[in-house]
Amino acid sequence: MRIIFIGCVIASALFQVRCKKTETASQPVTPTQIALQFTVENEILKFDTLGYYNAAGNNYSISNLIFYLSAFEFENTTGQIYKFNDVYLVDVKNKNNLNLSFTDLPAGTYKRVTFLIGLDSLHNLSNALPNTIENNNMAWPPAMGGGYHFIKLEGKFMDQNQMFGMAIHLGRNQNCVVINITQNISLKPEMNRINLSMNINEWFKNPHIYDLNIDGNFTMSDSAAMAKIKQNGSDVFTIN
Amino acid sequence: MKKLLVIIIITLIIVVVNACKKEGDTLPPFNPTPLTIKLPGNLPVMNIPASNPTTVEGVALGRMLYYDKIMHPNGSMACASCHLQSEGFTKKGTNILPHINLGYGNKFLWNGEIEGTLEDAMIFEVEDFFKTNISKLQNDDTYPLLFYKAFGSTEIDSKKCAYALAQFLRTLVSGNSKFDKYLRHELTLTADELTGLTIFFSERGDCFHCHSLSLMGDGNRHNIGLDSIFNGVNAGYYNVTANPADLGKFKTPSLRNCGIRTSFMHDGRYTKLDEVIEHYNSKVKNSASLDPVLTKPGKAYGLNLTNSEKEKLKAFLLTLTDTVYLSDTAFASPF
Repeated sequence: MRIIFIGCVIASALFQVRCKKTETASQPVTPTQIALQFTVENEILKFDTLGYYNAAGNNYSISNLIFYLSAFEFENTTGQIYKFNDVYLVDVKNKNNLNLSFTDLPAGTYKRVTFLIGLDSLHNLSNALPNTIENNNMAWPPAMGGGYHFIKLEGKFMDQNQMFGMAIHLGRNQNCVVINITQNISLKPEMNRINLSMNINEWFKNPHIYDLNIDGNFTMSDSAAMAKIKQNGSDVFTIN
Repeated sequence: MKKLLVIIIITLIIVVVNACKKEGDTLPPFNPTPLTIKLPGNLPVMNIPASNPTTVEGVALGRMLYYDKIMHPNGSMACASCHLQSEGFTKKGTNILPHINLGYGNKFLWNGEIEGTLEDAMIFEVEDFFKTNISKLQNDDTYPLLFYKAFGSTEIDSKKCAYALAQFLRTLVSGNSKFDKYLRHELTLTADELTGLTIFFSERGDCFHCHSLSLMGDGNRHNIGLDSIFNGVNAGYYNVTANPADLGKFKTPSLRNCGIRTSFMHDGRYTKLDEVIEHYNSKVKNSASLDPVLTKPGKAYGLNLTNSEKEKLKAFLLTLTDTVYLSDTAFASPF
């Protein structure tokens, strides 16, 4: 009886050691997460809600916001650059799209993050991206130059008590938006999340006050309108 | 007493062993054959849930269920009663949505009220639409074995019915229209068809924002200006969400085989393709939930196409007819 008891104690101890060891060994390295947030100034974006005002004074709402993010680069304080080739299609209405995951980005302090709203010229060719429904829905027709929509920002706006549609679409290589954020970002093993926030109003100001009545509420076949939106887009994202 | 106990135990063992033997002796080994759905080169990848992999046996079962009136409690109708292959898996003169490339969908029914997988949609069809009497299938001479071959159990339930139907419906792939073949560089289009294509895929017609390649539908919901006052079924997705922004929104139907249809829109208000083109050309009605893409300056609320442009657009739309799909024997009734 005593032998059995001792045997059980030893077996139990061995089992616990073994389990503990397994837990340590299988602990995953957590990828860095970029959590996307969307605001109009300091308010969290609510879809289909009139009452947002841009710098030109247009009263607008957003019904749809879909865009590509790609070509992420992170530069640490020693000058080492980490590049990522992944292309992310973000449909803001889909909560599963709002966290971007980066494996192999080591902990440390980073002084610069650069990426594109859109696609580089190698990816911005018709059928260059994987043949998925989501990518096909972003196609920029070959008859209009081919490639993909970089962004679809759609909604409504009021003008003199009348409601109009708004479809801010960007495509074509020259309208790809480069985002370059220079600020120190500390990534720690236990805290490797970056909050990346887009202020929708920034699309309509700096350097151009974009008036939906004057500059156009549909941009797709309007190269001047797209050029303004592209330039305004360079500071739509901030890290907080 | 002890003797009696021994007899009872032995009897029980014999009963259990025999019961096991019976199951093992009657049924073949469960070994379903994986099936890869053949997708024409220009079609997107199809996501298939890991919980319901496609198998030869599952598809065969789903095909039988699709065509068998046993699915209806009083045996009066099958799926195929309203989804006729020769008519593009819809029924002429009705507003029944065609079953075509459903394996790509994540929103089902006209207003897209069922969101999820094809399995979810089929569970709705079995449990809520047909209200299938499962015991009829269970007591049938044929079905229990077919369910065993597909799913490893002779016990039939609505979930297995739905999963089999989903497997079969995923094989209903249309990708062999004249336009598909043009995309695959297998043939050329006529001059009129090419002009129509350019209208379709440019700001002139601006059809492509919703009817995107290659499914010719984006799978999303839009208000395309059919109404400005929304009553009953015309309220669309609003009837699900009660959100005014969803008034008049319906799922974009695929334009594949639109050339053989005689009923268009959720309520079948148009009976000719020309009427549909004319809707976009001059009859779009404004409302707060109208899709922004339909309100462009200069052509708000209509395209202002010439008669010639309308004819060419129609010529292009007719290239979306897939006659292979309409006659493929793999999709036909197994009975």
